[in-house]
Amino acid sequence: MIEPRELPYLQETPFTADHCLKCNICTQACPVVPVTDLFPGPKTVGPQAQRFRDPDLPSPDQSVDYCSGCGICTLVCPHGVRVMEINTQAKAKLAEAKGFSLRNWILGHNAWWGVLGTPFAPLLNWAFRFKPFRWLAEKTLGISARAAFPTWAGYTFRSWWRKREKKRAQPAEDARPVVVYYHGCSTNSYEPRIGKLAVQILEHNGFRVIVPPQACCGLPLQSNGMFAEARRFARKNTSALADYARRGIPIVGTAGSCIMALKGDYEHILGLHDDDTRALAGGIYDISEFLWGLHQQGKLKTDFRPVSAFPPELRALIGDSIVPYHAPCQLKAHGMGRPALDLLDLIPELRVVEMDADCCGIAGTYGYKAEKRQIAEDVGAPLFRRIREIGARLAVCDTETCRWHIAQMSGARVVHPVELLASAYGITADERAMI
Amino acid sequence: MQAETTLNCDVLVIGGGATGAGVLFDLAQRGLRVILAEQNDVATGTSGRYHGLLHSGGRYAVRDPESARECIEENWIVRRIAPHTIEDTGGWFAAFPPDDPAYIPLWLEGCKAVGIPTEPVPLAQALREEPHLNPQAYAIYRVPDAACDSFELIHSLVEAAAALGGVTLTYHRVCAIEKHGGKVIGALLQNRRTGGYVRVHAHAIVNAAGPWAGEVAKLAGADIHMTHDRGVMVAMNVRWVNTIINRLATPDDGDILVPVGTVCVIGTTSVVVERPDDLDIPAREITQMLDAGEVMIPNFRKARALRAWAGVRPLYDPPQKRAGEAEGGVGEDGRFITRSFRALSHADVGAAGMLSIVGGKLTTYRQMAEKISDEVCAYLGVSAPCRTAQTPLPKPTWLGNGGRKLHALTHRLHQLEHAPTHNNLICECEIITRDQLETAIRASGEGVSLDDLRRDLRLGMGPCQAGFCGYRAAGVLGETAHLPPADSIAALATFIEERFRGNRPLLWGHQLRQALLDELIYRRALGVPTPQPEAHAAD
Amino acid sequence: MDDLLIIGAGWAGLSAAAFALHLKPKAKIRVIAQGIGSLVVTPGWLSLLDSAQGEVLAAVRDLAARHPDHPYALAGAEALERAVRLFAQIGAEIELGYQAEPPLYNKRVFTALGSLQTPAILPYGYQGAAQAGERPLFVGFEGWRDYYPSLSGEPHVLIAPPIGARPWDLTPTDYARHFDQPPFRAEVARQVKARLNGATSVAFPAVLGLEHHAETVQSLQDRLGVPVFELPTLPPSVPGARLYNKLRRYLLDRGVRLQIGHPVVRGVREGKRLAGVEVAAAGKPQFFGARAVILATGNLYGGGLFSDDSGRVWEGIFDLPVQHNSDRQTWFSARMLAAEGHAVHRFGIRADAQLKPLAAEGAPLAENLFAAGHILAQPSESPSPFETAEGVALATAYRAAQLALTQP
Ligand SMILES: Cc1cc2nc3c(=O)[nH]c(=O)nc-3n(C[C@H](O)[C@H](O)[C@H](O)COP(=O)(O)OP(=O)(O)OC[C@H]3O[C@@H](n4cnc5c(N)ncnc54)[C@H](O)[C@@H]3O)c2cc1C
Ligand code: SF4
Ligand code: SF4
Ligand code: SF4
Repeated sequence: MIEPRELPYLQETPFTADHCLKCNICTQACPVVPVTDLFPGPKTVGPQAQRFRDPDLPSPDQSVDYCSGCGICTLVCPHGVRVMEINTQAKAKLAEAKGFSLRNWILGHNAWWGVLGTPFAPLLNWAFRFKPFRWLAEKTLGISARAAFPTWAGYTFRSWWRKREKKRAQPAEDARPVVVYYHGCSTNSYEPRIGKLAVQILEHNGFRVIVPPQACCGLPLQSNGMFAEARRFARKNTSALADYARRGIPIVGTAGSCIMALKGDYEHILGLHDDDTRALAGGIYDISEFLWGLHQQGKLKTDFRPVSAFPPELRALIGDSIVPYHAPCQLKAHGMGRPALDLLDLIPELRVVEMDADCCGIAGTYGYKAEKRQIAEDVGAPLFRRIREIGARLAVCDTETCRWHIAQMSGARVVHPVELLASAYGITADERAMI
Repeated sequence: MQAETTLNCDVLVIGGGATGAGVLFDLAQRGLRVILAEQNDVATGTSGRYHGLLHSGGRYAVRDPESARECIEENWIVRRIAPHTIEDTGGWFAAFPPDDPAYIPLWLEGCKAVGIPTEPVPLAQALREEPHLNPQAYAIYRVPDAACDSFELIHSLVEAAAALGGVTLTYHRVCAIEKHGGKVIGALLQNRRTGGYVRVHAHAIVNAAGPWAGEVAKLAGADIHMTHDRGVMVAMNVRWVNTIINRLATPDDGDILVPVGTVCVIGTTSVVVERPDDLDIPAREITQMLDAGEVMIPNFRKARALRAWAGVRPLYDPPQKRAGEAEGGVGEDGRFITRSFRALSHADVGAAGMLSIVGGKLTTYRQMAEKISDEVCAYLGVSAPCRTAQTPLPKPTWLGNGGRKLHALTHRLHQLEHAPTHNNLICECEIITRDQLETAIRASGEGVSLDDLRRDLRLGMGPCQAGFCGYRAAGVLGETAHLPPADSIAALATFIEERFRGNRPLLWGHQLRQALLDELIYRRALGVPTPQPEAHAAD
Repeated sequence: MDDLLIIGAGWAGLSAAAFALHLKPKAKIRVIAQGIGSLVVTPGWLSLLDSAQGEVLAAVRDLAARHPDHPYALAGAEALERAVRLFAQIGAEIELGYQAEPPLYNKRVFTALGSLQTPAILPYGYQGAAQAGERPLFVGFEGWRDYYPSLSGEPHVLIAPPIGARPWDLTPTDYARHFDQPPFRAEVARQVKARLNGATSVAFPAVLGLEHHAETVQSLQDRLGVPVFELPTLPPSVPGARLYNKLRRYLLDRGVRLQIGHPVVRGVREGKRLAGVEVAAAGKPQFFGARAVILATGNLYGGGLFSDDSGRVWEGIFDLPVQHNSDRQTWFSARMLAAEGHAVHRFGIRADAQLKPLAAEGAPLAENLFAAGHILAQPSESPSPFETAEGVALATAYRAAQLALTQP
């Protein structure tokens, strides 16, 4: 090791405003600024307004509410200002001052709706495609009628997992290294197939996967300003999982933004500075990050079959196009590079190219709000246009809401990297099948 | 020397600091015709360079009870008559490990003797209120300190006087005092913007020239020995505390931290210097302030130091010392000289009717004004009593919108967000709009400099130190005052150098990066002309 | 493991990545930077040696001969010419101009204060100003805080472009996005044309298009019938942002990994070589292995160097010794715009003739670590680093990329 440099001082989010040189690099990069008149930009609502915020008084500025929380400003700032984090904290104070919003409460609690809705999947899936229902939801609640809603799978990943565990004879002596799988709410209720594939990929690489009890990451609550509740979720996760991290058991997840919440937001946005939070942050991995790490140690199985040996449906979607990859903002925030891209590069005949768009626009629950829907569509427009220009019918992205949004807006089918990896390994999972 | 204009009045007041403005208002209220002459803009002397503290008197409770009593008396009065100039932060006296616990009982006793209320603050509560405070503080007491905006106070006084006929001549320097038959009869003023002269006939003259009082007295042939005690203050870009923190110890360097708007200010040093305008800021004094700040706030140094400035205390060094006063020489600590004030008559040198008011604090400006005004009235045979302690001061109105500045941290942001449009923000750091700038330019009249606007509006006082707003302000100035481009550009070049002079001692870390970005803007993007080397001698 | 890992995404870092692609198209290249670098705050033109009177490349060779420790000299005689030729080739591909066919002579460009600057290589927007003796009309936008044509000179006009009632101030980038739209351009041209009054060229603030710059300039020229040119603005610099955006697309399309947002905090050594670097990422440090590393983190402004109130100056990643004055009072001249500049401009690390940064003992820190750009110290008597800003970045980036890809 060469002498470490001193890490930026004043790590606490509000104080990073002190580093701001007003250079406007963030303003120029923010994807929301160009598409709405209502948002003055990260520098203005972030470090600049922060100088005038009194910790004991409600923040006087409303415009910060238009910040989508994508975090690009924090990434592009060369001087270490945590702009997005400052904004998120200010938004929470604003929400607190404004009082209860049923819409934000509903959006914040999607973890519940996922599970509660599962038994009623057919009905709900029908309702969410039923225009008058969506119209009503927009008029009464302010939930955009245009936003793409996922479909309930009708069973949860956890129930699949429990059945599978029961059915399989547990060998008395299992010497395989253990990983914890963190599925997140979306995989649990809407896309169990991703969880199934992830588990099998990990097992294919010689791991024993366990799925201990866990909670929603709390990100939707956090971005809707419900910090107190988000902290309760955070605490559930840290106390359930920190111990695995301490024992050196990796925790691996497939929801890029949830993992970022556990890796960084708990500390820098929710302000949790305890040991459990830090231990978990250090011990959790995005699945691509984890697999790429294995590859760098020469431990990843690379028995990948070429695209020509993929299932016909997927092969047809790929055609002879390049496959656009969108690195979601939340994934860039990990600071781990583009492990998904690195992994996909290992698959013969697959040509994946990273798009130069920063944000697809959806930003979690932001694009589900009626008054922000147009912004969410306009922010992503360059990305959607590029995908259409390329003529791609398949694209790749690591986070769920982004996938749904890009798919809806570009017409391409958008998959999680594990879906391509699984195909290359010859692993399959039937979306509808419980087993 | 031929005077271009002649003015008549009862009393000429020299000096547009808090004291002079206080005298102007006091005498105007007693029905006299008063003119105030100030060589620069008002509030540019010590009063514009002070630490910002409306003292409770606690600081002087042990060694200087007379001054302590004056402070607490006036503290209550100023809160009553000029609440708009005050941010009632409250103050603490806190003892930290290096401080001698034996001082505490002495201090409590001193406070009690002069009537300063004190209330102990348990550490746990203190840390809840001020989470950045050094948790090793071992004794904390609350006192009625407050932050006071001297600038706003002085403008209020000037306006209140104007409503009663009192005239303020800024950029007019008194260059000669005229005597006749053992009395003063007037003075000759030079207009520093036009170079022309004004003759003022007056029956009495008040010398309220602060640290320049010695120089002004000399114009009348009098000799008063002032001690010029320079203090350096540093404003940090983080408002570390919301309460004023004083060290509970014998007054020393860097033992007060004052939250002011978006920043907090540590001060001060105390070095006796030769001249009243020696405002040097040696790097070692900055370091000393940062070290001192760390005793109170452990992370203190980690924030950006945004501004440093120096002021010179107008301390009066009487020929006969009172008990407890020490001899001070150049380079010494001037802290042993009383902060109380004196009124001096110069009849002994054939200048009857000329009175000097020396010493004191900003906090006690009103009492000083009252005392000297009483003497002026006695001399002139006027019997009107002083009513300033009962008269609320108006908010300054000359920038519209019911006062220029607002005294809660969040107000400028609130105002901006709730305006119908939020554009034309010229200085983004301090939230100053084009409207405000134009109004100030018009109100200030011909020859207004960007630095004048800075004082009026805090233009360019934020972290970017005019890197962005300098050009914009020069553009607005040019368009509003219809200046030829060369003049606007020269105004910009001058402003840049003025900001740089204050900033240069603080260039390390992020503030150094800021300076390099600003330089990049000025030199590469804008191509601001390089100053002529000889111009330096002129300022 | 990457073939080349570049730390820094300013002029030096991004051009090193682009040059490396050309030198070795199959190379695996990664750029890691804490934030976007200098492009978005600099005017977007290339200063090679602004004071050069004759042919610029010759003047630079001359400078290098006089100052053997100048970065130009370390980069070697050929580096600058090769770098600018390659840069011009890329500039053409990304449709931003930047012709650089030697012999090169400095051009004349105006600033918003009507001063002249003399960089050597220009994107389209500045090219219209190159002719002397023009009588330009300076055009500003009513109510816009970022450009005051009355300070540029006579004649000048304020027009009212159709921007609607924006509640907040527009940034230069906002205007540039408007100019990307043909109807907006047409309306601007209509208003200007009505007030042209015989002017022989027209100057706008540098906001003539973000994605469609060449097209914007061309269409305005066609409509106005005279050359149109740009004046640099306060940051964000649109010419810089155009270049950044296009370079980013260029690099991503060619498989370069661009990781903006987290700082590299240390090097990991393996004998005499660097095995890779560690990034302060979310949750835990991330290691990135590489066969060669280019350090292009910039000077005290860029973030490669740090300073504190005690007068200490240090390099942030490898703790390389920094050439600097230890007395803080000598860092800056008495005046901000002093003709002689400031001592701090020249602070930097030292490197050998292979651009390998030197450790305290005077030997290279590692065999596969190279430095490029303004993190390199500049000799005290040489021209101001502002004059050679992009030239030094490009020449050293080219040389560093070349050495990094060919080292054993
Ligand atoms: C570092 C420092 C910190 C301080 N902190 C505090 C504090 O926290 N609280 C507090 O209460 N007090 C404080 N003080 C003290 C307080 O600032 C002064 O006592 C007070 O401001 C003096 O006001 P003044 O009007 O007498 O003098 P000044 O404000 O100096 O006014 C004198 C004016 O006279 C003008 N003048 C001089 N010569 C001429 C001439 N020939 N013609 C025309 N005009 C002339 C000058 O330009 C100047 O504007 C501090 C002082 C210093 C130096
Ligand atoms: S937050 Fe960062 S990028 Fe934005 S203006 Fe400040 S320093 Fe520049
Ligand atoms: S988080 Fe995204 S939307 Fe919000 S200010 Fe930053 S860049 Fe803009
Ligand atoms: S993605 Fe995270 S926040 Fe969203 S539902 Fe899943 S676990 Fe909860």
